[in-house]
Amino acid sequence: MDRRAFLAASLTAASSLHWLRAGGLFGDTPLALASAPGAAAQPGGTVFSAIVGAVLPADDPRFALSPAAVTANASKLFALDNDAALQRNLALFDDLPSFAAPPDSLGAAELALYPPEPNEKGAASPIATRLAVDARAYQALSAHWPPGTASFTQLALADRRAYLMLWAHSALGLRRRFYRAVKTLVMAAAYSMDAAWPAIGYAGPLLHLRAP
Amino acid sequence: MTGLDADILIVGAGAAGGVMAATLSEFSNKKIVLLEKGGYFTHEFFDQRELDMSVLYAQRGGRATQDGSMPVQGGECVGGGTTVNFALCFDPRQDVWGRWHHDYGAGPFSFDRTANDLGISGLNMATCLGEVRRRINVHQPADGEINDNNRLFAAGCKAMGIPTKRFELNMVDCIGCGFCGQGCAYDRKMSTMATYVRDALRRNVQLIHHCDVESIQFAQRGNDRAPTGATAMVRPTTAGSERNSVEPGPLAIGAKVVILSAGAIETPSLLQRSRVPDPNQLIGAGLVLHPSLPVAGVFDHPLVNYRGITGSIYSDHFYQSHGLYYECLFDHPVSASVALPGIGAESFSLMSRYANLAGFGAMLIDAPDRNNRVTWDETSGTPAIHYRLSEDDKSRLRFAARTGIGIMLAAGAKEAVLTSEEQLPGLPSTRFKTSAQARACDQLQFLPCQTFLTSAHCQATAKMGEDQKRCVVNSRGEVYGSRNLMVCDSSVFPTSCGANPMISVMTLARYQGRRIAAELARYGL
Repeated sequence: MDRRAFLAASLTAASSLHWLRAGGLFGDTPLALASAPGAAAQPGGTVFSAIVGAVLPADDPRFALSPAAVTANASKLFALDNDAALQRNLALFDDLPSFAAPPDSLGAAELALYPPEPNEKGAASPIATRLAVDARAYQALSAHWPPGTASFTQLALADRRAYLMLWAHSALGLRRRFYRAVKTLVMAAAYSMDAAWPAIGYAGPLLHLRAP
Repeated sequence: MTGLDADILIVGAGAAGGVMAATLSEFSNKKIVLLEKGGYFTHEFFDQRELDMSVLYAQRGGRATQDGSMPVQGGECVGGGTTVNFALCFDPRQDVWGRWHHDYGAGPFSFDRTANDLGISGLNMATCLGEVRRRINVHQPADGEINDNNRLFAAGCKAMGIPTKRFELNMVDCIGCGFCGQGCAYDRKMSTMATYVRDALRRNVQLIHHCDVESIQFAQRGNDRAPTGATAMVRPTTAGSERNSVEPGPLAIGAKVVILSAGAIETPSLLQRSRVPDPNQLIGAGLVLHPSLPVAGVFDHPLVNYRGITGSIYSDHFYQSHGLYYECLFDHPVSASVALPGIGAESFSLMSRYANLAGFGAMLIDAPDRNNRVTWDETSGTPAIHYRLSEDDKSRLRFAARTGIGIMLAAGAKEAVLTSEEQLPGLPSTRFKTSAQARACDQLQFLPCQTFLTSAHCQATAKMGEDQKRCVVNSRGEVYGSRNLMVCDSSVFPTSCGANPMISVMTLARYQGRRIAAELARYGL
C-alpha cells in the first residue's frame, strides 16, 4: 500500500469517508442514474474548501490555521480529489434548492438506513413527513438570502454555518450523517495538525519522557 | 501458497486469544498457531498521535454501526483491545455469571477456589482470575496518581450524594502520559501484547499477524463435522510492525482444533463466512455494545485532564437501578473536536478552552435484542453492524444525561456539555448552566446521528449455554453441530457481562485454556 492510500485509510474519520465513497446521500443508487446536480453547483474541491471555512473558526484571530492549510491537509489525508461519489455528494450539498426538493433517490436511501421511529409508526409516509419538516426549515432560513442564491459557495459565512446546522438538525438521518461526516473530516484534518494545538492549550506527544 | 500444520489454531491475538495461546502452551506440548488480523506493533512504534495510531483499531478506527450513528471501536493488533484500552479492570461479576448459569445453563464456572469444575483438578474461575490478576498486575492507583479530571468527577459525585470507587488498573509504574488509547509507548501497560502473547512466543507458539482469515474448512462424515483448517491471506507487513513469521500471500493451515477469539464482531462474521450451519439464525444476533454518552464540563481554570491516568474513578451507584456506570475518561483534540457540539464559533468556544475541560462518560448496560446483530457483508468485505437503541435504552440515557450534567455542575463546572446536536426547548445548544436547564434532557430524542455516542465493548454474538435453540456454543465454547470448533471471547457472553469486559474475557480464556489442556483426548489430540 502506498503512503497516500495508507493515510487515507488510517483515520478516525474512516467511516465518514467510507460512507461518502460508497454512495453517501445517494445510498445504493448507481451514480450514473442519480440526478445531475443543479446548474449552479461548483466543483467538489471548491465546495469542500467552503465547508472547511464554515466548520473552522477561521474568523477568530486565536485560531492559528488557515482554511487553505486545513483543506490541503484534508486533501493529503483523505485523497478527496478524484472520487466520483464523494464529489457528487458535495455537489448535492452545494445545490441549495434541492434541500427543499431533493432527488427521489434520497427518500429511498433514507428509508433503507433510517426506518420509521416508534413515534412515526402511525404516519402514512414517514419520509414525506421528514422531508416536509426540512422544507419548512429551509424556507425560513432561505427567506433571508439575496434573491437568486442557489449555491452554498455563494452564501456569506454566517449563512454557510446556518445551512450546515440545517443539516445537523435535519429530520432526515442521511442529512444528519452527512453533517457529521464532513464535520469529522474537517475537524480531524485541523486538530491533527501541531499548529492547531497552542491555541487550545494541548501540548501533544510526550515522547521525550520515553523510559530508557 | 504457504502451507502450515497445527494441532490447535487460534484466530485472534487479543484479550482472549493471547491468554488462550499462552495457557495452552503452558499446559500442553501441542503445536499452536496464533493468527491476528492486525499488525504486531510494540511500544517503540506508538507515537502518541491520534490519527497515526488509528492503525491499531478495527477498520482504522472507522468501524461503526450501519446507520453511522455510533463508532464501534475495537483493537485490531496483537493484544487487541488490551493494547489500546484504558487499562480499566473489573473482576467478573458473580451475579451475572450466576444468572447465565440459571438462565442459559452456562456453567459451572465456579467462583469457589476449591472447586474442581467438570472433575478437572483445580479448574475454577477464582483460581483463573487470580492468575490473570497477578500476570497483568491488577492494582488500584495511589492517591497521587488521580488527576484533576478524576478528582473533580469524584467531588461532583460526592456533592450529589453519589458514591464513587477507584478503578483497578493493569499497568506497572505508569508515568501518566495520558496516551493509553494510542498504545503504551513505555511498555508499562500490561496488555496481552506485553504479557501473554510474549509468554506464548517464548513457548514456541507461531504468531502470524496481518492475517485475514477467509474461512474455516470442514470435513463432513455422516453427522460428524469437524474443521480441517483455515485459509487466509497474509498482507504485506505495515511499516513499523514487527516482522512476520511467513511471507505475504495466500496461506493454508491444517488444524485439528480451531478456536475463534476474534471478538464479538469478527468471530460471528467468520462463522457466517465459513457457512457454519445456523438453523435458528443465532450467529451474530443479540449484539451488546455498551453505548456510552460523553459529558463534558467547562471550568474557569485550567486542569490536568488529558495527562495523568485517564480513568481512575468511577461510580456504579446506578448499576442496579438503571444499568448504568459513570466512568471518568478524557479525549485528545481530534476526538474531542469531532464529538463536541457545533461548528465555527460555537465549537471553538469549547475547543479554545480545551485546557479547562473536564470529561466523563455514562456507560449503558444494554439488553440483547435479536434485531441488533452482526452480519457478514460479502459485497463490502466487512461486517455489517445493525444496531438501534431501544426505547428503554433511550429513557436510561435521558436519565444518564440529566444526572451527569448535575454531577458536572456540582463539581464546579460553569457549564456542562452533551456531545449532541439536538435542539432542546429553550436552549440554543446542548450546553447547560444550571440543573434546572438540565431538565430539558427529558426531551432528548436520540435519533440516529443526532448525539455522539461511543461504544467499545462488543459482546454476546455467539451466546453460550446448554439450549441449542438459543445458543451458538455450549458451556465449553464448542459450536453446536461442529466437533473441535470452539469460540472463546466476549461473543459467548449470553448478555452483557455487566462491566468493562477485559478481565472477564481473560479469565474465561484462562479457564477454557486450562480445561482444553486437561481434556485433549476429547479433541483427539
